[in-house]
Amino acid sequence: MSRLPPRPRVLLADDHSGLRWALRGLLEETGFEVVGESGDGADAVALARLLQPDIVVIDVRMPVLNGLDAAKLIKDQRPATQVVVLSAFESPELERQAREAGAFAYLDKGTMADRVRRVLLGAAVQAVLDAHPLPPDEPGPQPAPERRETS
Amino acid sequence: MDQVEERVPGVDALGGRLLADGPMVVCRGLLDDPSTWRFSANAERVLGWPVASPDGLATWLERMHPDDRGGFEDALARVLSGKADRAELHFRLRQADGDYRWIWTLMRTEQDDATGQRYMVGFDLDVTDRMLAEERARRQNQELERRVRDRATELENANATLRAVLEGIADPVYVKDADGRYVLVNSAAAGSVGLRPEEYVGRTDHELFPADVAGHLRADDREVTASGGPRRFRETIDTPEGPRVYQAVKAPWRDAAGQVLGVVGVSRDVTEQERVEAERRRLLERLHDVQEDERRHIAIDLHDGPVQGLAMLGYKLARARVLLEAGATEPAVALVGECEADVAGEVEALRRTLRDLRPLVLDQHGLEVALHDHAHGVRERAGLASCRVTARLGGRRLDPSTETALFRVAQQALANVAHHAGATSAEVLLERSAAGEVLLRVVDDGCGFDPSHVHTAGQAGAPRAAAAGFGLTAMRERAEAIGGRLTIRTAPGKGTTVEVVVPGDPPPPGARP
Repeated sequence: MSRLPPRPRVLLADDHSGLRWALRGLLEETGFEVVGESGDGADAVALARLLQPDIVVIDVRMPVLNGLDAAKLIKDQRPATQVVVLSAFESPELERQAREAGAFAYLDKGTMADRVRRVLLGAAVQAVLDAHPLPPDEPGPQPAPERRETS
Repeated sequence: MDQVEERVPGVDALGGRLLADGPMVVCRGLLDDPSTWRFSANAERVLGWPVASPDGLATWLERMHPDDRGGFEDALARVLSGKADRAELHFRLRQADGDYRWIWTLMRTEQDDATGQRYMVGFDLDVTDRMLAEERARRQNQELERRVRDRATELENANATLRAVLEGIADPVYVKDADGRYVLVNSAAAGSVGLRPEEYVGRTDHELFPADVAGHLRADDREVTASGGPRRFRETIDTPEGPRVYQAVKAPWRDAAGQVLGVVGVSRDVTEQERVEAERRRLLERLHDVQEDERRHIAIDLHDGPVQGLAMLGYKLARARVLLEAGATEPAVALVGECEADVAGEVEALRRTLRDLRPLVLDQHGLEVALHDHAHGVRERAGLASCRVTARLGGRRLDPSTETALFRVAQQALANVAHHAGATSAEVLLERSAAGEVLLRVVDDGCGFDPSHVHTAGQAGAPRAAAAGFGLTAMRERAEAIGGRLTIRTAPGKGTTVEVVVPGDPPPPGARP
């Protein structure tokens, strides 16, 4: 993982500052670069446009703009950015809506930290692929297996 | 009296023969000389004994029924003395076999114009059969009259019983004929439209009620008579006191032969019952709403607190593990120490949620302790300068439901202080009056509000606090559920006082008020 240059750039959006801080610590310790933090959905959209991160980790229930609407806007303004929705709700319907909004993955907050990290690595790979699409005659790599893990 | 003669003097031969064969005995003689009195030849046959001896009159009287003798002697004496020129009477005459026969007799006087002599003429007829028949008829008549009387008494009694039963029923009871005319009603029925039963009877629904109501009632009646069996209806009737709702049971009214004569019915006034039922449903609905509301708050508390907190802890611990794997012990230890503090914080948050859910201290140590604890927590969380509790129950416990209700009211009032009032201090007072009333008062020095601008029920688009009415409705319902009364004194800029007074049992003797 540490061979992946450069470190994937992550934007964290959650209104729980303690959780944001903990996640930041974990990600920075494990090969990611947290380029920004946001406490509400609208701010997250603005930061994503400004910072153009590889990954946005976003909570569903947030002030001003909820995570799902924010995800859609983030994908619209830069499709290569991968949105990982991190929610306190374990809900198949919310997961479906998140995917519809273009999210790379939907994780509930009970998910083990290791798995969160692996999903984010998958998202990082996808972000690189989406940012540099291969010519059509060359077969591209299979979609990241992490993507299926979340369903 | 002399021998019976073939001929009574003065009676011609044909008449004599007719007499001899006929039922009528004729007797004639000088008025003042009974020895000259002669009887027609049929006397023995008709009267049952020979009129022969000179002392016949005495024998005659002796044979007469003792009850009839006096009457006969009087009548005879009046005729003989000339006080009366005729007398007619009945008497009973004993026969040889000892039986009596009824004899009708007519005595009268005659004057022979030629000689000037006065005669006594008597006619006797055996009327036993007629008398017996009459007696029988009389007896039959009497029997008939007795029966009629008995039947009438029976009917009167039955009527009185029916009346007693009808009047004993508090619900309106009525009988209508085929034309819908009331035949019988009890006082409850008549009273329901402000009439007396006698004013009600003889009228129809159309004369008593508005056309649409009467139309409905008659339609129900027709359904009953058509169906042939009892039916239930819900009927609404306007009364001087407003519309009343009745649960009516109607059945066909039949005569003994089964012919339908009309409708009988009992209508129970269920207005109050329905009102109470609707109120009960409303309260139940409200209870469910309140319950859901509380659950929502708890869910939000748990979601925003422990779930996020534990997720955060997970990330920190994962990072600590990564650090340890890399041999970075020092930052890992620092991180684990941080986790300890986080755990303590989460435990406190959970405790707070649990306390809001159900303060166990309330059950175990009572309202006074629970109020002190709660006020302490509110003061810290809301940053109030003071939140003093003055409890003067002397450590005495109240009824558990009263304690719970008063605690919830205080909790809501203090939540308002913390979230809406912008107060610097609040005060809680709990005391018992000499009359045993329990008083809870929560006072703050906050911004107050205009009570007329607070909605007691949720309104679309209203701000959340207003929509919930600061929980005023819930507080009021809590208070009323334990028979208490909630009053709120407030005005913009004047602070708020929430007060509940609960009637209680009188304090034990010697207890300080």
